[in-house]
Amino acid sequence: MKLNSNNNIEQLAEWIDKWQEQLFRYAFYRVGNRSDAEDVVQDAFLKIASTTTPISNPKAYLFRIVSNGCVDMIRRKSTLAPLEEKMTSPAYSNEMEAEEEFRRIERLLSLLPESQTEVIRLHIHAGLKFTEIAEMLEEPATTIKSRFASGIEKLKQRFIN
Amino acid sequence: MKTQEYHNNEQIIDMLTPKVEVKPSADLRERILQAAAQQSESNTQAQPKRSRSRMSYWLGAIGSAAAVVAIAITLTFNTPAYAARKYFSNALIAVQDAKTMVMKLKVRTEPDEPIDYINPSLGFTPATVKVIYGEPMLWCIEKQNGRTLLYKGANDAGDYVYQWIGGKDGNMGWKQNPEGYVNGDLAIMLDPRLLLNAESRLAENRKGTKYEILDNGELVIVRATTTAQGNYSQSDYMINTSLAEANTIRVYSFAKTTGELVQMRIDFVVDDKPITVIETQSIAYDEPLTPNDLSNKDLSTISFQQLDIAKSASSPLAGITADEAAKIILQAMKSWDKEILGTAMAYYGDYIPKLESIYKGLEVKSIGKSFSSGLYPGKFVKCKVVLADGRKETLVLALRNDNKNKVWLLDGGI
Repeated sequence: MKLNSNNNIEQLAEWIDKWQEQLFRYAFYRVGNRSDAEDVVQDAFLKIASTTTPISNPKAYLFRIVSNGCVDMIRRKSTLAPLEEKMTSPAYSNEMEAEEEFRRIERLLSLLPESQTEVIRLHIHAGLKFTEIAEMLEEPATTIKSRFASGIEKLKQRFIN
Repeated sequence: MKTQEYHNNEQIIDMLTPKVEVKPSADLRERILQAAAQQSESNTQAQPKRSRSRMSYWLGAIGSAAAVVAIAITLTFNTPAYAARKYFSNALIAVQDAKTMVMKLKVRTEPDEPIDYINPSLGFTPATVKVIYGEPMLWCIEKQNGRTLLYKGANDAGDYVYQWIGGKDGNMGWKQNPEGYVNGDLAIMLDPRLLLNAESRLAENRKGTKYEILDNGELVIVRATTTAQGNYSQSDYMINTSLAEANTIRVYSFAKTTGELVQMRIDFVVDDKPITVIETQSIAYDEPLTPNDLSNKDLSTISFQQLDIAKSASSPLAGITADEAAKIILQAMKSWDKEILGTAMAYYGDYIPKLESIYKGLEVKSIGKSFSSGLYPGKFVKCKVVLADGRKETLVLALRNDNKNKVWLLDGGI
């Protein structure tokens, strides 16, 4: 979609209204802070706005871009870790709790392989259906369900059984 | 009927479900739409890149900012703060493993004034910064024919930062414990990585700083406009005397191919007009540099005064107000009371006899009320005096008592 008309701006606005909260929640619980999560989400919308190829499933496209953006962001942050100080003045009252919640969930997910955590994040944090995740990751829905179930099973073995 | 396994699954899913709801900032939608509109505009206005030699770019890019603006392809793919952070982060990655750094720059200052003193009305003084990164970091900042600061680590003589002034006042020096010495503007001059890091965090926080990004083909130029830090409600005396205490425009040039910072310029904004106060001429990383290369000065030729001697709590300058301290010091200067002035002028060391020749016998005409300004940790007191030779002078004494026994010391103004 090339942004060269009012129609396209309206289209972009519609997508933002529809998916920004879901994308942001997913990104936040992936990167662990508001600023980075908003940057990644913004980047995704700007990418979709500038692409020249037709997009059949904009929601899947946006989640794919946000997922990749989060990976890049985390990699860049870890490279900068020795020099970069964490900001400690969250702009929102529940931000510190949310960041603590992020760390709690990260500790749980760190016990699982990435292929399973990605599906868990997309299903639980982003609220995507298994069929939507399958489309986004270009995998059969049965594979996606199986990864989710394996991840849950592993945590169950660890914490319940 | 739900099985135990189902309940267990639910329990795990519940553990993985965030209990704190997060929502994007209220203005995110507008920010994206605005950036998208700008992106679209810049795509339609993009001009073919010009081919110029690398050297001429580097020489001309900063000096002719207006020209660059004219040919710039404005990078508004993202909000400028977001884009700026990317460039600062890339530059940090490019230089974070540096072993040494040699930076040549020019600064609007007096050669013998303190190293972080900047005055936009003065001419440029060339300066060189040399750093060997390590534990401890070894470094030297030298103003041409003027003040030098040197830290070569601990040796038989002790562990000191040495500071001396050259020029007309000869070889007069001070030495001080290095602990906590490197901070503020000084730290930034020693390590541009700190500046990049600070800018990166500023861009992340987006408080009070405006960013513009320009691309001239080989360089990406980030222009950050910031406002002065500190409190000026009592007086603007300290405004525009240091980087932090000024409204500034900071211009950073990054090589597109490597991401490295290749040039930096800082302007003070005075009466709405930008005046360049610092400009780098070269920044070189990983040049061969040993501790002996930091300075070729023979330190044994300088008389160093130790600055961080504890001052006695029984001094008449302890535990009083700055206004009272100013009166005592000025009275002491009239009769040149060596006991009081020995404490009050501890920072001046071997320079005291010269001060005596100027100020002994002065008459105090008026003393103003003390005031704070900017980030200065002490107080200022304005006073009018008549010197023994009949000359009238207005002094602004800088007094500080941030020592253990709260003894007021004269830190400047004479």
